[in-house]
Amino acid sequence: MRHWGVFLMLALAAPAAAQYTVAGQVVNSVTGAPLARARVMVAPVNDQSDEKNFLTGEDGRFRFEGLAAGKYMLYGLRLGYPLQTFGQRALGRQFASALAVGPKHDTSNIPFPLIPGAVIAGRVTDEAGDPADSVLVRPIRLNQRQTLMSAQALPGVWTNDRGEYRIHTLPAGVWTVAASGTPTWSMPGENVFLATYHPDATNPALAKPLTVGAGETVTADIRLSTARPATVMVNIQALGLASPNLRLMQEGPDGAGFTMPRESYYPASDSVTIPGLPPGRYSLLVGPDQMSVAARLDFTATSGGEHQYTMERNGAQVGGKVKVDGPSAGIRGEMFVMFRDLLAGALAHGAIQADGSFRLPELAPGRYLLAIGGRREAFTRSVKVEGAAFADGIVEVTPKAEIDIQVVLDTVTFPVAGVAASDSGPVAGVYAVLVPVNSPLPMMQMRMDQTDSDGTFLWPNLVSGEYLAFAAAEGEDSDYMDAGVREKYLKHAVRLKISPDMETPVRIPLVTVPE
Amino acid sequence: MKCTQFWCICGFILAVAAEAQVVEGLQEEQGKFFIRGQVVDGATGAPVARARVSVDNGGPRSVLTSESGSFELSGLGEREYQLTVSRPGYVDGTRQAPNDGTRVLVGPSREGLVIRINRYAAVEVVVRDEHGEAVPGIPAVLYAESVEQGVRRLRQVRRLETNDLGRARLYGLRPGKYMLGTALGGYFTPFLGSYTSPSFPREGYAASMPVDPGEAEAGNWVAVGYGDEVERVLTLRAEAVYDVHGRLSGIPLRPVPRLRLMRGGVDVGGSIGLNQNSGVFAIRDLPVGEYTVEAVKEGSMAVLGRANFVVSGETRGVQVRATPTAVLKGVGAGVEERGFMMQVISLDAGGWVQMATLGPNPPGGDRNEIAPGRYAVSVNRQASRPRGVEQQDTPYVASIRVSGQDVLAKGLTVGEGGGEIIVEVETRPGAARLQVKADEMEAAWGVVAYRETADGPVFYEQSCAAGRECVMPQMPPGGYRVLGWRRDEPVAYRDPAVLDRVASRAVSVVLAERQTAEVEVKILEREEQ
Repeated sequence: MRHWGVFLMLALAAPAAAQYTVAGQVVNSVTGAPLARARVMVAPVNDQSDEKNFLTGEDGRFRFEGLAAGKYMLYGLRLGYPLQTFGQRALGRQFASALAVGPKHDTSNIPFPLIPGAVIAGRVTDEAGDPADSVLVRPIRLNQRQTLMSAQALPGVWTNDRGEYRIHTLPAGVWTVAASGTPTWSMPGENVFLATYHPDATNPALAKPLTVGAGETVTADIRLSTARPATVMVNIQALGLASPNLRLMQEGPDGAGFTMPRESYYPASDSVTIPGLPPGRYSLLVGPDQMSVAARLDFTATSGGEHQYTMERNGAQVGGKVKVDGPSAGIRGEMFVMFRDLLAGALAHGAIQADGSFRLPELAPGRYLLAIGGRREAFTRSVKVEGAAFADGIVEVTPKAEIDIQVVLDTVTFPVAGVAASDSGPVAGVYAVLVPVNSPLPMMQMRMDQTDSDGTFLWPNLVSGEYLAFAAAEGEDSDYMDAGVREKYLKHAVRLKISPDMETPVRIPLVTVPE
Repeated sequence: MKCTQFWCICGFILAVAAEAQVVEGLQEEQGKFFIRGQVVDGATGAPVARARVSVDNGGPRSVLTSESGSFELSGLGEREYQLTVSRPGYVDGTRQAPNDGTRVLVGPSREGLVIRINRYAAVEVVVRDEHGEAVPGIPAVLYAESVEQGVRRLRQVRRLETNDLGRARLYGLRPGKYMLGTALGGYFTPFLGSYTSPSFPREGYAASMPVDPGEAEAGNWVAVGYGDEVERVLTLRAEAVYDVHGRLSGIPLRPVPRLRLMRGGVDVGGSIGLNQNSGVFAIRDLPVGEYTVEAVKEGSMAVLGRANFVVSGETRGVQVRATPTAVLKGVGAGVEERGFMMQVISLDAGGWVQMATLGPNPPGGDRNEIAPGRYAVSVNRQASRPRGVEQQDTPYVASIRVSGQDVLAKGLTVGEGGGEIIVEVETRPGAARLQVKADEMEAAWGVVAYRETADGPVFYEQSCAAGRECVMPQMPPGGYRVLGWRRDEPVAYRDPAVLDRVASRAVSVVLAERQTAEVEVKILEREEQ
């Protein structure tokens, strides 16, 4: 909530130098048609509360006058279009481009494309061809490139009595849809629909990818198969958890793991019964709370099967020390070590004590992404891991391992400004990527930004050293977390010797890699 | 559609009537009897394939009908079975419209049973703005007029957010009259959505929401019959919307109360954020109008506080101060020791029914808070028969008085200012039993018995299971008029005009102390109300 008083004071204190205009036209990013009744908001990058807004007329035009020179964020919103930021490359992306305003920039006629959502719609039927009512249909993003991020299932929608569903306002991309539920004609516990992917795949690996562009509607019907539900009984007594939390994940479509959340349980006893499960492959994550995973049970539920499992303690002990060097050395504020489970997305936290030591809750075997939280200005100088395989932020946790992690953070950091350029000049709205040379931690130490309207960008919190840099216009930001993706670009990158007294802005080339 | 026809196909009417006959002491003989029959479409008479026919009492057992609609349930014992039929697309065929079922007496086997099922109605709502553009993400709501404890109110029966085409399909509807509206809420602002902006006022849609059934636009009512598919366009106009801030004072914040936003006595379902520590709340995006906000105790219907406020173009945030409500306290022989439950029915806030537990140890620390307003009072459960008291001495409630006034007849008016309201309950031993049979009891039904007093009629209501006769075991002796109705068509008997119209159908009976009286009533037809 913002304060009126502050807003008025800022308005009164507007400097005399406020003489520039930002004007343009809101258009549909796909058709180019002007968008009437769109709300455009503008706010300085360094003071987002000093906001002005404008409602476009029939011509889609907007105009802000009396702005001081500087960089501004521009936001747009309209009926049928989610809130988005100027320069955002697609819906749901975290990067955008600021608008440079001043004597060198013509901001009198800026096209502001609003990106319409993508739509996946279809009809779900059962084996008899009857519409399947009240079935949950979930969209799952499939990745175009092999990256760290596994497929993500978004909250779904329910079919109506005609079996119809419609998922809208999706970011453009490659998706698949999965339906799950119980036939309305079934007696409880008698029948269940198998988790079925468009068009009729009950094997997640056979899910058909759907490419859907912004503003497009793709039809994806699903034909369900019926099976007898399985019952799974799990004994978790050996885990010795006081108030255990169980999360059941089902195998997802991209081969990356158990990415389809099903249900959470808070059992009152050490014995948990999960009825009505469609046959399939599952992972049961058990932890002391909703976040951490102390033990994991992977199992296959069969049609009509009654499965009994006893879970054993097989988690790893993870602890270590974080050392902070530099002018603001030592542990300050709330710092923590975080492990993100790359198969099911679960998180485990361990607070860093005043002496830098930390200990995580018991951790189930698996593949985890390591991150240090609470010191944004720091640069991860080194990470040493004993008792587990470790490569660039990813820890392979084996059963009952004892893992020691030593981290050194550096706070002698400085930002580096730059500009991305092609042969024809500065390029707006591209990714500026900086990767350390010969570092064992390229992902943890790399920096990324999206260039602003004048092609400029900023890499924060760097330390001196040798780096490779490039600008890229393809894909999305998370793609560049992947070494394989980066490698193709790094061949054409520029080598930079980064230091606090280097000449800025640095110039980096726009690199295009043929698909 | 003629009414006689209408009732013939309503619910499940069996072609073969089951004579109600209680067979006791017989052991179930597995495998001896069967039910054979056919499920047909009530409108066309065509067989319905893949309908599920189930018997639930004595273990779930079910079969799907064949392509010719026929089914056979075998291995049945000699007794009465509850039969349910479900088929997607049909009333009683979806989870949205559960059925009341039907009963079949088995022993001997039953053959040639014909069960008619009827397609439900659906209303496809298209929400557009004044420029004809689809409005996505706005809840489309269907309200039905319902009657509880003889009081009319609007009840939300379906609610679904519109999709990107501005469409919402509301289905599984029984025949009837529904009011169509949109709800207030966080999805309400067309241009700003959830984005918080200091610009003021913002623009939002003045929802086409039901106010009072009488005041509502005629166009917002939609009448449907079996199988009807109706499309309705709702056009919304954008206008300024305002945020309202308030604070709860004098109301316990643990357990956290629920805040209810009402307009014209109808819950409009706005999203209200409440700070659980300070009691400060905010209601976003309200169009100009008159509103009521109520703090309701979670888990009960007790209104802890209420405040009326007006949103106008001049208003830039309203301080809503809810005031504490009065507390009901029961006194009287048997009340302090064993407890007593009565029902208070709000007459001016949409007919909310609230249970008041008067006694020594109310469950959940209930304080029986009651907001200012007018209420009807009815006896819900009389004091239980004390240990050692003979059946014939079963007590009944002779009177419930507040400040010397008989509230059963005259109702209860709670004024502003809170305080304690002493409810004097007088019970006497020697209750009469009223046993009611109806001419037709296949569907769930109900009974209202009323006696005239100098202060007006006093009502006793009882819900009855399908196929069973109704027993009202703790009636005060005296002369009564008795009416029967279908549970899905209850009578608004607290409306004097309605009572006048149906009084001629009532059966008179005089109940004597410690005696059982039997009456047979004719179920009221819809047009009689």
